[in-house]
This record gives sequence, C-alpha cells and structure tokens, in this order.
Amino acid sequence: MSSVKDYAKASFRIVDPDEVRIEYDENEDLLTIYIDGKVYRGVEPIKPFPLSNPYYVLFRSTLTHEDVCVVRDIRRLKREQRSLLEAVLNKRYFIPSIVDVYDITYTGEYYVCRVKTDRGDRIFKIIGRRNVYRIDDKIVIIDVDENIYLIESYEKMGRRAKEELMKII
Amino acid sequence: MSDDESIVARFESDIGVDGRYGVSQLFITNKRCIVYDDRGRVVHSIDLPCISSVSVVDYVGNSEIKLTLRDGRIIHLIRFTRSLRREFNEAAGLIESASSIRSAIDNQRVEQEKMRLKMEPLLFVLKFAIPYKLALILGIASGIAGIFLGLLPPYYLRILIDDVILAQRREQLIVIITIIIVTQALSSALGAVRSYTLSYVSLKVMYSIRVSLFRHIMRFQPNILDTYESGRLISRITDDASRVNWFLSWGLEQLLRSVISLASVAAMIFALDQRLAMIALAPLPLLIFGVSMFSRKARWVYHYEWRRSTDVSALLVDVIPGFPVVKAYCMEGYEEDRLKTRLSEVVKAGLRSTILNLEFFPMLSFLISSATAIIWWIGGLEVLGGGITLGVLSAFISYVSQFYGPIQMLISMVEPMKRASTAAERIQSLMAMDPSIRDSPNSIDLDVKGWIKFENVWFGYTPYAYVLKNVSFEVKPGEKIGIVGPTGSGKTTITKLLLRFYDVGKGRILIDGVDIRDIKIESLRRQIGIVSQDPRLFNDSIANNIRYGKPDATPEEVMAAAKIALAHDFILEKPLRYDTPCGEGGSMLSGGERQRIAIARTVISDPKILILDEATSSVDTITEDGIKKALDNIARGRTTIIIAHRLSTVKDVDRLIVVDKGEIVEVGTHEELLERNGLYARLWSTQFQEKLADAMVSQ
Ligand SMILES: Nc1ncnc2c1ncn2[C@@H]1O[C@H](COP(=O)(O)OP(=O)(O)OP(=O)(O)O)[C@@H](O)[C@H]1O
Ligand SMILES: [Mg+2]
Repeated sequence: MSSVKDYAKASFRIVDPDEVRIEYDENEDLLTIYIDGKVYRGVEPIKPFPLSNPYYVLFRSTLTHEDVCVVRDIRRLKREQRSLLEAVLNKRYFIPSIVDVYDITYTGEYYVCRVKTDRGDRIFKIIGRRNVYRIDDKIVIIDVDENIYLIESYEKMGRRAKEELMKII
Repeated sequence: MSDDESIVARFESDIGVDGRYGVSQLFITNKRCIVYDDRGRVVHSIDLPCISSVSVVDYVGNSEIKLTLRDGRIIHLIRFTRSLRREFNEAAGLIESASSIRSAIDNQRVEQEKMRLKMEPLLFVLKFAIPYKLALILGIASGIAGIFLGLLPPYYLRILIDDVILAQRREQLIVIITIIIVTQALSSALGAVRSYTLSYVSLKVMYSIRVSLFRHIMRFQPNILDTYESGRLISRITDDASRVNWFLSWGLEQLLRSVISLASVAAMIFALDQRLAMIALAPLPLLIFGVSMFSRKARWVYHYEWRRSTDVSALLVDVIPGFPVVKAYCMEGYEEDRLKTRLSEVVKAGLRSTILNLEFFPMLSFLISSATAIIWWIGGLEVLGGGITLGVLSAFISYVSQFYGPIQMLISMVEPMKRASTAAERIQSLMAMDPSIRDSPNSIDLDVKGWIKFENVWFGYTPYAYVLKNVSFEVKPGEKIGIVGPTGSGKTTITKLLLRFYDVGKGRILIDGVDIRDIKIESLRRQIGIVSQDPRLFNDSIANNIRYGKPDATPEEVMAAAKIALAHDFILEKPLRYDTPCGEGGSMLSGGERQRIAIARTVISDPKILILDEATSSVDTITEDGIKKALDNIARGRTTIIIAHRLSTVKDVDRLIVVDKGEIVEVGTHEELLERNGLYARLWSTQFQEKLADAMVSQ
C-alpha cells in the first residue's frame, strides 16, 4: 500500500536552495536549471499557492510538462539567484500588497479604492463583496479588470485604512 | 382462540376492508396475526411461523402491511392512512419479532423527552448567560439604580413648587436645580454602563447559543436532513438566536426594571396619598387578568406565525442555490408564485397576531388613561378644597404616569417576550433531541485492515419500506470490487450504511469482523474515503478543499493528490492556481473538475477503504483512464469499492456485484457474468452496442 505521502515524494523533488542553480534564458523568457549535474531547459517557475504560500515555487518543464523540482522557500536562495528568479516571477505574478488605504468611495456602481501598495499608488474599482476573498488572515481583492491585490493582514493596517476597508469587507 | 394463545397487541386502522374510512383491527398474538373487519369478522388469520418477511408499503395517502409467506404467497394484511404510519410500523416490528419488548422501550424514551422539555424556555436561555453573570448583574444593577434616581425628580418637583417657588425662597432655587442636573448626569452615566454591559452579555450569549446549536447539529448524522430541511436548521441558528438576543439585551432588563419601578412607585404613591393611590391602582387586577388571557392565546398564534416565516427561508434556501435550474426551465414565474403564497401566509399570520393584539391592548390603554383622568378630577377637587397642596398633586400625577409607563411597557413587551420564548422553546427542543446514531459506550478505535462483510442487511429510509433486502456480501482486504445495477437499486445506500449515516434495519455490517456499531464513528469514517455521486465542494480555495481530507497536508501532498486525480494540470492553468476560489458549492468549476478535486480530497486522507460512487462519471473516458491508472498505483492494497453505470469503468475489477431493486442478483468477474447471460450481460450488451454505433457514426 503506497500512501499519498510516498507518491508526493516520488512526484515532487524538494531541493535545498544550494542544490540548485538557476539561469535565465532571455530569449525564451524561461529558466535553465541545474540539479545534480543534470540540466533542465525551458523551465517555467510557477507559484502553485500564489497567495497562501507566495514563496513556494514549483519548477515545471514547458517541454515535457514534468514537475522538475520544488523550492519551498525562495527567500533562502542565494542573493543573486533569488533576484534573478524574482525578476521572472514578479512579471508572472504581479500581486501588489496594499500597505495603506487613502479612501474608498461608492459611486453607486463601483467602489473606487485609492490605495498605496508596495509597487506605488493605485486607484482601482471593484463591484462589491464578491471581489474580496479571505484566505487565512489575508485579504485578496480582484478588481473589475482582474488585477489582483493582496492585504497581508487586515489587523496590521493603520486605523484609517481599517475604517475605509470596512466598507468593502 | 386456544388457552395458551394470548394477545400481544391490538392496532386499530382507520380504513375499512372495503377501502373506505372505517374500522378494521389487527390483533397480534403470540401465535398469529388476525385482522377483523368492522363487524368483527375475521379477514386474515396468519400463523406467525408461516411468515417469511414483513414490509410496510407506502401508497399515496395510505399504506399497507404486506406479508410474504414461506410458501411464496403474499398477504395484503391491513391498510391504514399515513397518520397511523408510526403505530403500524410498530405493528410490523412486532409481527417480525413477535415480542413486545421494543415498544415498551420506545414509550419510555418518548416520556423522557417530554420530561426534559419541561423547563421554562427563557430560563433555559439564561443558562447560557451564567459565564457572564457578573456583567449581567452589573448591567441590571445599574439599570435598577437608574430607576431609583428616576424616582427623585418628582420628589424635587414637590419641593421646588411647595417649598421654594410658593415659599418665595430665591436662594434655594440654585441648590435644587444643581441637584436635579447632577441626578440627571448620574442617571445618564448609569444608562451608558447598563447599555454596554447588557449588549455585551447578549452578544456573547447569542454567540454561545449559536456555537452550541451548530455543534449540536453537527452531532447528528446526515439523516437529520430527511426530517429537518436545511433551511429550518439554518433559521434556528440565525433567526431564533437573534430573537433570544433581544430578550437578553433588552427584554430581561426591561422586565426587571418595570417590575421594580412599579413596586417603588406604588410605595411612593401610597406614601403621598392613600385614597388617590387606591383609585390609581384600581385597574391593576383587570390588567393582570387581561395579560394572562392574552399570553395563553398568543402562544399558538406566535408558533404558527414563526413556522410561516421559516417556510419562507426554507423555500429560499432551496430555490436560490437552484437558480440555474429555475432559469433553464423558465420557472421564474412559478417560483415567484410559490414564494408569494408563502409570503402571504406570513402576512396573514402576522395580521392574525395583530388582531389578537388589538383585541386586548387598546382596551387596556383605555383603562389606564381613564384612571389618570379620574385622578385629575378627584385630585383637582381636593386641591380646590384645600385637602392637599398643588405640589402633592403634581408629584402624584407625575408618579402615576411613571407607574403606568412601566405597565404600558410590560404590556407592550408581552408580544416580543412571547416571540422570544417561542424561539427559545424551539432552540430548547432541538437541543433536547439526541442523535439516534451515536457511539455506543463500549465502542472501540479500530485500525482497519479493510475486510468488509454485509450479513443479511435489510434497510429502509422509512422503517419497513425496504430499499435493501437481505443484502450479503464480503470484500477481502485489498480487494477491488465493483457494484453495478439500474438506478435507484440501492448502490449509494450501501455506501451510506457502511459510513453509518444510517443504521441497518436488520442484519449487520462487519469491518474486520467487528460490527460497525461497535466502532467509534469517527474512527470508522476517518478510515473510509468516499467520493460521492454529487460531490460538494466548499466556497474556499482549491487547496483548502483538497486539504479538507487532511488538514495538515504538506503542499507536495496537496499537489500529489491532485496529480492522482489528474487535476494538477488544469489547476495550474487557473489564474490563482491552487488558491483559486471554487465558488459556492464549487460552482466556479466544471462538473468534471469538481469531481477530480473531490477525488483528490478523498485520496489525500489515505483511507484504508476507498469508495468511488460514480466518481468519474463526468469526465471523458481518456481522463478517466488516466485517473484509473494513477489510482491503481495508490489503491493497491486498499479495499476499493467502485460504483459506476459506465461498465467500462468497472469491468476489470476483481469482482462485480450486481444489484437490482435492493437485492444482490449476481456476483462474479466480468467474464463470468457475461457467461451467465443475466442482468449484467444485458446491461453490457446495450452499452456495448451504443459504443459500436458511436464508432460507426464517427467512421
Ligand atoms: N434520503 C432518502 N430518503 C428516502 N428515500 C431515499 C433516500 N435516498 C435514497 N432513497 C431511495 O432509495 C432507493 C435507493 O437509492 P440509492 O441512492 O441507493 O440508489 P442508487 O442505486 O445509488 O441509484 P443511482 O444509480 O441512481 O445513483 C431509491 O429508490 C431512492 O429513491
Ligand atoms: Mg447512487
């Protein structure tokens, strides 16, 4: 009797940050990965849990659709490796974190939110509660144009931000 | 009747032998069952040993007891309306066991239930406030202190008029005004303390009532949904709990306040002028009588009204999730009409209680105001005649209005009090109900190996209307079996019994040789994984839905389970991958996607026994093959039961069980069953021909 645990071990190789070397292939906008002297080309980094576990990355071959390996926490990669990987990921996963909320106004059709994110100021529109999800203690907002914003922790927001957010959560 | 024959029980039916309302009787003795018609003639007389099985068959508006005799004859023993269904279930049970022990036990239980409901519903609710008793006492005490403060101003008024203004004592004026202001300030502060503490207590109590109701409901098995609709259960947690909240945050304190201020104002009035006091209090006995009359009538009126409004929520809980069906059939109008009917019932019931109110309250208010008018009259005469001072009369009138204020309050509270107590009663009765299926005291934790045995199992969702009849089969550890059969034949029911959602009627189910009624329910279910026919996902992320089967699963295990269910690839295509929300009940996913996530949710828990009830019916055959291969890997060594209509899904299992109308009709491998040329062979050849036809068309 083999368990799911065994199957997971067989299917997803978890690598230590120093076991793996990553190179960026500018042409393809993909990665080349070196593990144990083996080379995998055309590898795409995927965040399977982009919101609940954002530092978890699965490397998957775009050629064979095989899961090459998993890095459980990319923050533990060497500095230049990490920044190289993050450059690729930041484009693929553009999920700014909201750090402050200036105001939220209701126009009768939309809620217009003026916020400060870790990627700069932004104004966006949402329709209502159904654009707001809670995952664990995080809040995910998907605006009318399908942009995604993240609030790491409602409790840690400032007083004004909390009061404004009360309009939409 | 011979000497050694004695009557065990007698049941009277309300349908005669001629099929009209009338009387017929069933006697069960220690030897026979005998049916008499209304003139005492014997219609049937059956010796108990001749009977091979008993069942109750339901028809529209009536039912009958049907006996199958050992010689194969079928006896339609006696008919009765549905109102007597319970009694005759017992009759059927008695015939079956020909002993009276069971019914005695049942009666005893009903008595106990009645006993437990005795406690006054609102007192029952107060039990939940015990943890917050300090806050509750503080709230009520500050309320009462507020009352005593409230008694002072009229007293000051008398001093102000008689001793200051009329006595021309200018210098006292500022003193008395200051005292009045300070008193008011103090009373506002006390009011704030009271409001906060009482609302704190009531919210906390509502919280714990809701939690314990939820926990209580969760102790039940899914069969509770056969008796209670989910809408009704929901409304007990939401509506009823909030009505009770009203009682604690407002009602209880108002009640105490009113009673206390009544008593103290009455004392003040008597101190001021006894004769006027007698007049003021004259309507009181009438009031008390009126209110008690009212509450007696109001009880059933409010229960009725309450049921009408839960009818509405039950309908909405049913229809709104079924919205796509409504639209697909263009039944908006029909549903609107259904809702209108129920809503107008609410209106009607509401008007009925309004009318009830009107029959009492205007009359009571009239009594009160006439008493006040009479006091003005008599008091006015007294002041004119010099019997009392104007100050006394003003203070008196002011007290009297304070007296009837609380009385008006009490009267107006009767109605919401009744509502709250109705709600409390419903909560109480649900809490008093015990799940029929629960762990027996000596049940055990079992480390399941996977040996399943059904021994002559009989089962019906309503007693004696059997859906499974004498089902016996055995599955060895690690064996993979398929169950096939026409729809409605009882396949899913077999799995529900194995999970102990219901208890068997007769016979027993063994796992590793232990009767499942002796295994802890949680231990049993943790080791059986089921993908049900219409899997329900929750409105949460895909990852959390999969993790439902194993809350502490690692990210790799979540992905591995999805991989086994061939869901990993499609999940990675979704914008938020594994964090993608599934929507209510999984509505944001396709049917096949939903099924695959349900499979992942089940396999991740590594069950010892795996049941797949039409688990791949909504996925295409190529994906199904893929899932089968991946599952084979993981299912090796686990007992697996696969239920499917698509016979290609199950044809290569170790053994097939063919069920028809609740009975096992064939057992064997695919080849053996084809050889036998029975039901399975027929099902196979129809499906095979369809396939052939498809293949020809596509060529
Ligand atoms: N909760 C219930 N209350 C009353 N009767 C029920 C209930 N559930 C099922 N039944 C009845 O029991 C019988 C067997 O149902 P069951 O679900 O076991 O059939 P099945 O073999 O799984 O059918 P299918 O192939 O359509 O899934 C059916 O006649 C059904 O109407
Ligand atoms: Mg079924």
